[in-house]
Amino acid sequence: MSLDLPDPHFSLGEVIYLSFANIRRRFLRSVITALGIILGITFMAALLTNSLILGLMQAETGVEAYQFWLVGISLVVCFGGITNSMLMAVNERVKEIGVYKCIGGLDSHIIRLFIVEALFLGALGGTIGAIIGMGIGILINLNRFPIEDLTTQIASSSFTFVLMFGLCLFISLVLTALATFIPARRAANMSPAEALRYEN
Amino acid sequence: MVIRMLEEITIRMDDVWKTYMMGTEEVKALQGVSLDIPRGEFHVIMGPSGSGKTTFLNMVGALDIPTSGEVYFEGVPLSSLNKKQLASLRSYRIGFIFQTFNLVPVITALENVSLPLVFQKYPREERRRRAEEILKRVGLGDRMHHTPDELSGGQQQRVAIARALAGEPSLILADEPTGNLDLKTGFQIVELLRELSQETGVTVINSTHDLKLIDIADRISWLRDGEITRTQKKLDVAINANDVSI
Repeated sequence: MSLDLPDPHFSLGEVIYLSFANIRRRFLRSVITALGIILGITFMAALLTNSLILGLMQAETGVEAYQFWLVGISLVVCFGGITNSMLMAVNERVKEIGVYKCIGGLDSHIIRLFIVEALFLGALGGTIGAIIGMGIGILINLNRFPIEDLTTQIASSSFTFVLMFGLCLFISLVLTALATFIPARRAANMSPAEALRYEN
Repeated sequence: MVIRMLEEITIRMDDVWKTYMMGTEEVKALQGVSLDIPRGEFHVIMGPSGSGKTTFLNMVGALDIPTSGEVYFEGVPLSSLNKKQLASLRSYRIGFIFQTFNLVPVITALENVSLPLVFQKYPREERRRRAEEILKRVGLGDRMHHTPDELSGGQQQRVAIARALAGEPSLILADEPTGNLDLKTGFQIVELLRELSQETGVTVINSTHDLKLIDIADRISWLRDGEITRTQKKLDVAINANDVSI
């Protein structure tokens, strides 16, 4: 014997609407999360731009070796920051997750709700961070090289800079999605009763 | 008696046990609860805090799994359903009302009420129309576009009632719905719930420790330390009360 009910449904349009409602109403929290992403991506973009310019100008500065490590560290710091923000963001909404489950939400629906929100913040933070970081990367080389040489070099390899912008944005999206997925899945896996009982 | 036999049973609990681990201590929240609740009944689970009321409702609402025993929803054993089917059951057949209202804080009353319909794949316009209709019915026609933090406790609980009814469930589970409200507002909320249950024919299971709810219930089950000590009709409670007073 079975009840023969259709599967619960949560359309992408609704998910996006609810994610934006959440960003708007929890604006301060969203700004803090976005700032964390911006900082990390800015740092990484600045280092990458600096390396790229030094390479283009064929300067023998010997900084490339440790720059590689710095980029790695910047990513780790960025990931840690975002995970922390997202952990808090998910944590304060565990009860809400319980409610979603009571009205038919599946684990995957709940994860989707958080991921969409995070991806939006990741795209925003990644774009702003990449622009600021690349700006800084260029600025710190202004007094090293003649400005004419610098502009010609940058203009001639503009496609590389676009690629780098894309890379920064991509890394930002991947990091935010990963950092959100972990706490969101943990919360979504709780039984509804457990989620509703949860006190933060 | 004959009529009773023909009535459909919404919920049947068959020797349901639930044990939790609280740290290292084993807590027996439910100890062999068996109960039949026929369709359309307004059933009150009466018991002090810690008697297992919430656990009881969690078992009925498929929010948690019994340690042993079986819960049947309209004849279907819940243990036979997978996670997705249980979610569908909650979405289409059960409405939940909580002590702490538990509305989604970032959206309006109207959007909260239409949320269950999202999961039932209602078209947007239909959702809105239905949510508006129910909100008007619970007396919030003029507060539909307010978010929960702009509403009083009583108003939030009305929104919660509207949300519970939106998906046209066959069962409503109300866990101490008056617990966070003052006496007067609490009573209005329960009256409203009672009216709506009569209008729609929905079965209601309402947990409380408020003896005033005896007047509203069709039947009352007394829960103590995870066991149902008595289940009686309102009339019998009244007679007993008279016996005591005489």
